[in-house]
Amino acid sequence: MHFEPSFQKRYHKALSDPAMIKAVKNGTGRLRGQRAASIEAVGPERWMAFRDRAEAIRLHVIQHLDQYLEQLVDNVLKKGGHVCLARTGEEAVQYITSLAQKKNAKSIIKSKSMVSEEIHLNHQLEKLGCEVIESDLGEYIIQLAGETPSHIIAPAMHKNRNQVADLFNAVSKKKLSTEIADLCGFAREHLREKFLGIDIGITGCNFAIADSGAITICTNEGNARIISALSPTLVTIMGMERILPSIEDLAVMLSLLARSATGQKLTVYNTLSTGVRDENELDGPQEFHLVIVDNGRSKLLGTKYEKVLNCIRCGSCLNACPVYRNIGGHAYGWVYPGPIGAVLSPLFQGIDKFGELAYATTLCGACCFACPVKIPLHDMLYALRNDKVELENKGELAENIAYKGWSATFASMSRYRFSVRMARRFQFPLVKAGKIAYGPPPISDWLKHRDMPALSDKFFHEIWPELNKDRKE
Amino acid sequence: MGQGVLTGDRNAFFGGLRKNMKIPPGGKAKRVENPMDGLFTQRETTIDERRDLRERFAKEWTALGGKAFSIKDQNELGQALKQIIQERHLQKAMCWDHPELEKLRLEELFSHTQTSLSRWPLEKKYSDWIGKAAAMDAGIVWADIAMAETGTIVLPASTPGQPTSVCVLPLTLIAIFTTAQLVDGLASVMNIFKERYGTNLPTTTTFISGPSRTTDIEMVLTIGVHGSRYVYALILDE
Amino acid sequence: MIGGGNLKASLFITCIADLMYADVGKSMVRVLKRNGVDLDFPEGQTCCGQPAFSSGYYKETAVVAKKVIEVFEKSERVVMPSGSCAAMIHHGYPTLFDNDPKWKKRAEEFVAKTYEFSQFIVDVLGIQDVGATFNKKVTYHSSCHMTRLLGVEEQPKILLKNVKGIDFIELPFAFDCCGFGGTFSMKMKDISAEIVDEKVDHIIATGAEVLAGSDLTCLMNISGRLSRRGSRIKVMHVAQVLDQGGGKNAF
Repeated sequence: MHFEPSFQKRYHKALSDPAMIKAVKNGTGRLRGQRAASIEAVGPERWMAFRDRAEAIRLHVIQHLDQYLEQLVDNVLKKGGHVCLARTGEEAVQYITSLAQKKNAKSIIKSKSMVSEEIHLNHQLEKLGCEVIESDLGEYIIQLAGETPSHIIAPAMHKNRNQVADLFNAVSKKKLSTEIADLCGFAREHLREKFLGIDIGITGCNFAIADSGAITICTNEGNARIISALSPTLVTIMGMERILPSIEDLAVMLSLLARSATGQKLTVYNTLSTGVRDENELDGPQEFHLVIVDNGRSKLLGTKYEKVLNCIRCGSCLNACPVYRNIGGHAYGWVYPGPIGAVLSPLFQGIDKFGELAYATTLCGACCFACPVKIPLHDMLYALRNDKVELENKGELAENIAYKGWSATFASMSRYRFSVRMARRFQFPLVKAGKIAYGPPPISDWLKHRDMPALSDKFFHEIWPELNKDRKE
Repeated sequence: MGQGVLTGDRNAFFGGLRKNMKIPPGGKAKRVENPMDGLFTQRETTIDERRDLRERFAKEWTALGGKAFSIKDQNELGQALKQIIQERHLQKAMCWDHPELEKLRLEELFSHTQTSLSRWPLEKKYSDWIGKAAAMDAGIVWADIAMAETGTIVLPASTPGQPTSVCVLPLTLIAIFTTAQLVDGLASVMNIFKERYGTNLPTTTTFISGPSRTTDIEMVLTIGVHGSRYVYALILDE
Repeated sequence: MIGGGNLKASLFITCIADLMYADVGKSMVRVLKRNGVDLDFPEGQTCCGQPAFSSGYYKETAVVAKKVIEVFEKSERVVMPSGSCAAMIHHGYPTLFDNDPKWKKRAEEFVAKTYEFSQFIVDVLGIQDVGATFNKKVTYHSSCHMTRLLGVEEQPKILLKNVKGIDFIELPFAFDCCGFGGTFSMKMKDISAEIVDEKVDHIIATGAEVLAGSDLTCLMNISGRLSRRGSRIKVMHVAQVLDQGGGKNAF
């Protein structure tokens, strides 16, 4: 899928697609409402306690990430699983493509993995001649469309049933209606065939458990469960921060994950697996490979952005965000949309490429309140802007000048009063009926959609002496 | 089981992490010692309380789209199975090789019906059993633990006779357990696991909360993609 | 100095009220005076610094912030008609001086005595009914920084609900952002417009005659859109609503 280089272009494209925005508003509205209902059922105070606990768990883990990963690696190896420590996306891709070649794999079935999107894994495997099929229904839909996911939890949220029917009909032998039951029926049948002929299965990882060398995967469809049962060779790819110390921590995180994401108490299928099948077992993988991916995450350790690694990819910040729901996920231009994407994309891919996203926010803070692990996304957005201006010295010239001028003016009462009186004196050509009617940018930007009041005839600081005098006893 | 192989430069990988990690002012965040404390119901239950849990489980399970039966005796078990067979037009069923299922003499119950019941393993070789398993109408499992708060059955694959394929491939899933298996929620499950397994978990454990579902198309709920569409819980008096 | 009440406080009018909404300032002064506040107005005040801070210009903000802290150094309490400006001081000022322990201390002392208007009346004066009368259907927009950063949610609503004759209507999605976001409203005006339209739709749907709020930037944004859409709904700051009908000790 081709992404316009500029955020401006991308979001204007999104705004010109009202059907897509309608679908996104419907999707986020539902998820937000369902989440709110489930929090109500838990009780707001108990929910706060859960979040505090989850934040504490994740903070500790991230600050001791090396320890827990070492423990995980040793435990996985001990149980006969193979481990690849991939510092870069390329190393991970190299490992998996070599494996595919070694196994002469033709049919590769995947369950959802955001990190695999980061590293363009599917594309590299397809170049080898493998058929790579996404088994999650939403991922399958966008795979057919040649698109990337537009929402972390509901990858095809931006699509309607007509679009899905068109995509499925290009693959289906039978003509399908636009009835959702029909479309799902096709998906079940078609993908079931694929499940029964897996050479290599690739899953993501919701949480790795360090002390038992186990992987937890959560799905509603059961696709990951099927894949891990029927793949002779199973690959699980994980962002290196997706780890917990033990299964007791898992209890806390699972309780928050599903409720935050969709309002469910638990996703329908939760799998806790240690990799390779036992000697006499007949299903389960004969070979297990855990690919642990850094790809820029370790760079964030020890920085003011470290807490962004708390993320459990629930998507609730997306649903809370007024900007996301009005532009959809593709406008963000990379793997992660919404508030988490606005922070991760510049951090992982550079301020030059994605610095604009730090401004794709009204700074309302709804994301922080939605986040089950209390990532201070709001503060990080400020920090990114500050980094751009002060650390990297990449502030726009006009803004640099404007704020220097502002600072000099507003630090002095006399300069402030003089400036605003001058502004009032000279605003008259722009004023009509007490409102500003025209002006240069940025005033004209404001005025495109809204009216603007003129500067008052009398400023408050000018009427204060009157107020003060009148009231004196 | 032999040791697995590590690929990648372990020292460089972890060196990179450690180089960046800093100790924040005030020290690093401490380990949360008992993560589940104060957040979950954790208690020993009586038989009566477990009867209540059965009702609660049934309520959750039903709300998720499943069906639950309270079973008093072998007779009622047979009747419930007959009802399910009729509802789902079952012709072929497979079940786990589990000592608890053994006790229920399912083969005997099924012998009074037109439905065949095959105990796992169906065949030794994958190429032989996969077709058979995929063609089964129903899978029957024993739920070692069941969570009332969330309507969840917990299926640790404790022996080779308890494969995942039985619980996830067929359109219909039938889970059997007694009220003795019922607990409140996740905390109890984790405590049981800690006691039973420590850090040496079974190769795989499946938690199932109702039938498989998706809302990936227009947020409209559809049941039965890709796991079971019909799920039954037969909850016996302990 | 106004009033003969016992509680001393200084008014920080905020630049936007100073320059565009002097009437809000007038109402604030009257309401506070009626409720026993001995209010003064340190003349050197200008702006809390939010515009520069939000745009990442911390150094420039610090220059102005220091001036503000100095201007209010002698004040016992500081009260502001803006949730976001109060939040800027609470949340932003300590951050500005993270590497300057002397100024950080001064900033924290300033934070400890600074209040948003409704917060001040309910929490400091301990008053929930200012004795106002306003026979209108009124709904209320809960500003983001005031609620999420400052933690002030209920106080303005309590004050409004106790106004005699008021028909207070809860706004659906009251906590949803109005779409202002500072320079966002100009830099990404088209997205901002979509967001403010959602807010305006909710407001219109309540059937309210008046929209009240605690943040003049939000109100400027929402009223600007309301009037562009030809709506007759009046937009008032909470201080102006509480100033209606004279109140307890009206002159």
